[in-house]
Amino acid sequence: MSGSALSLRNVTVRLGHNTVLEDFNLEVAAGERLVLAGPSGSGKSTLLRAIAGLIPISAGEIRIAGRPVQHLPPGQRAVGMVFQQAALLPHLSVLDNLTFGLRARGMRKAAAVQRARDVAGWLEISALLERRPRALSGGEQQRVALGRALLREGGLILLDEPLSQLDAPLRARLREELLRVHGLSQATMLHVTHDQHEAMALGDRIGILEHGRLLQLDPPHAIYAQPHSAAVARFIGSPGINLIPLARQGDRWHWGDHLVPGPATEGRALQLGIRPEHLKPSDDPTAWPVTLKRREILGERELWYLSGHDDLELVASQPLQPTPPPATLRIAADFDQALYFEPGDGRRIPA
Amino acid sequence: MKLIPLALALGLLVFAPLLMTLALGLFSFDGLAAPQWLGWAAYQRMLDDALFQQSLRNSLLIAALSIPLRLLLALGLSLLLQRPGRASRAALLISLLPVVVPTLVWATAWLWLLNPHFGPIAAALDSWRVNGASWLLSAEGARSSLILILGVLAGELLLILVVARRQIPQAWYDLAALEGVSRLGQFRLISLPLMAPIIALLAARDFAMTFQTSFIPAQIVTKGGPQFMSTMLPQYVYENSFEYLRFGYAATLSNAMLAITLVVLVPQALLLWRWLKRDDNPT
Repeated sequence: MSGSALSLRNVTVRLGHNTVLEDFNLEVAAGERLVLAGPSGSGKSTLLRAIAGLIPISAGEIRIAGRPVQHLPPGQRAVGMVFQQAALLPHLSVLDNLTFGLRARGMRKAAAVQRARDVAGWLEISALLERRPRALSGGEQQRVALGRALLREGGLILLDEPLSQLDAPLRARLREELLRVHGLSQATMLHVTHDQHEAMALGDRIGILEHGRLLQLDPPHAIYAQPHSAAVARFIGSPGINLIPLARQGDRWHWGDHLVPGPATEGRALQLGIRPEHLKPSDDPTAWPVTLKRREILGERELWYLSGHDDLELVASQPLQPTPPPATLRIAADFDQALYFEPGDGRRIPA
Repeated sequence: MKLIPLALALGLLVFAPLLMTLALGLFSFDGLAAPQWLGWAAYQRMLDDALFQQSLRNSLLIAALSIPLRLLLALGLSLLLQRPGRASRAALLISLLPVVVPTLVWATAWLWLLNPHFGPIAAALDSWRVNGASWLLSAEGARSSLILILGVLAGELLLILVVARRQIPQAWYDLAALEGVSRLGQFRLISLPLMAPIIALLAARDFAMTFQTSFIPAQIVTKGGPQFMSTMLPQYVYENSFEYLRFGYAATLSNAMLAITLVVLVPQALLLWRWLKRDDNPT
């Protein structure tokens, strides 16, 4: 397929007796930033290592820039990779770490140094080139590692949770840096993370991965607003979506005694998904009575941890209030924003 | 206060004998008559002694060949055994055996292996049409045997190098593989430079120990023969003191041994220290 920088067809990866990925399919367009997000053990890192050739695949096809590479050793696949730890060689200077691969592939020293200096300029690490890695901060080390990956010919970069070892302010800065450098380099980036904020901030498209299966692949807004399943809805959003079990009584849906609008489907039960920002305090007598368990002030917003019917815990996100809310109150859900899911497989039901 | 027993023990067992040996080296003393002052003439006598020259040559030659052999063997095996597993554990255990059994037992086993008449090595040499019996009785054969015996005593080094190799993060090798660096290149660019300080440290330590470790194998297997051609310096010290009762001369030789060790070791230690300091230096 033209314009596809990376294409996976029916890729299966087994590690020992464990099938980590099965029949996995993915297309990444040239110049795209695709983020795969998922919890630990979802197969994210395994996928990247299989693409890079660091672990073999059991079946399927991997094409990089249209060329099948599954039988090639890692060095011939033309991919750059950034690991969780920067993995800079401690006995080499920053410049030598950057030119390491170019020199190993036979580029003349002067040309390699020139290319490294150009990339160092993008990453604003030109002043660090003579230093040893141990003299760099975590963020600087990761920028050098990114530079090294950008220097790999081919323009496909695999990023394996590159920001996970950094503290929160540095993570935010490096997210910005990644976007800026992506704009300059036009490289194709396949980034895996367990951090939903990172996924939302960096992905042109986001894929949600669970147990080696791609649950949904869509732009960030669609992932958030139109999740295909309860699992996707739960993964994206912090705090997580409230999932409320509904039961059919006649042709109406109820949560306990509360009447709830719902879709016209056949089943006896379904799950109602309401994001914390779609719950608001209300004086309406039909609103749900809840008790306040805990209040957490985040800054411009605050979270209310509530207990509703059957002791179900709900979370409501509110603008910062001048006074604490009462211990018992009523809250109303914005049903225009409600999501409905099958109780069994969690598939979303159109409202 | 807590260090007083340690200081006493060190003083009595290490420093007092050291000072006494340093002093005794300037005397002629047979353990019976009163010591006779020789002064620096004792060292002149040593330098003129052909047997001292021969045993020093033997010691340095055997150290110069057996230490690199041992390091190369340990380094090669450490790369083969780097992946943790049952086979690697078993091989490590086997290679550690010669280090943990008493040197006497180990040397006696070699005495059998190298026996010119019924030992398996002589038999093997015979089967390759080399006259095993006579070869092992030659000066070269005796010295080669000691190089072999000391060279394969690599278990301890191997253990240290295996640990050193396993400390190097796999990500660096993955990265090198992604950049298209061959296995040999990975060894040259990653394993070797990162293990080099440890290899240098082990080489320095082994040289410092060489006068001690070579004594028992030489004494058991070749007894310094033929014609002093495989006599090691510590053996010559031993013979002078306990066979010829020349305690003064034995002390002179011991002091020379200490001086040689320091001459070789101090530059190595300085080099290593600068090297480690350079790696700690931020820029």
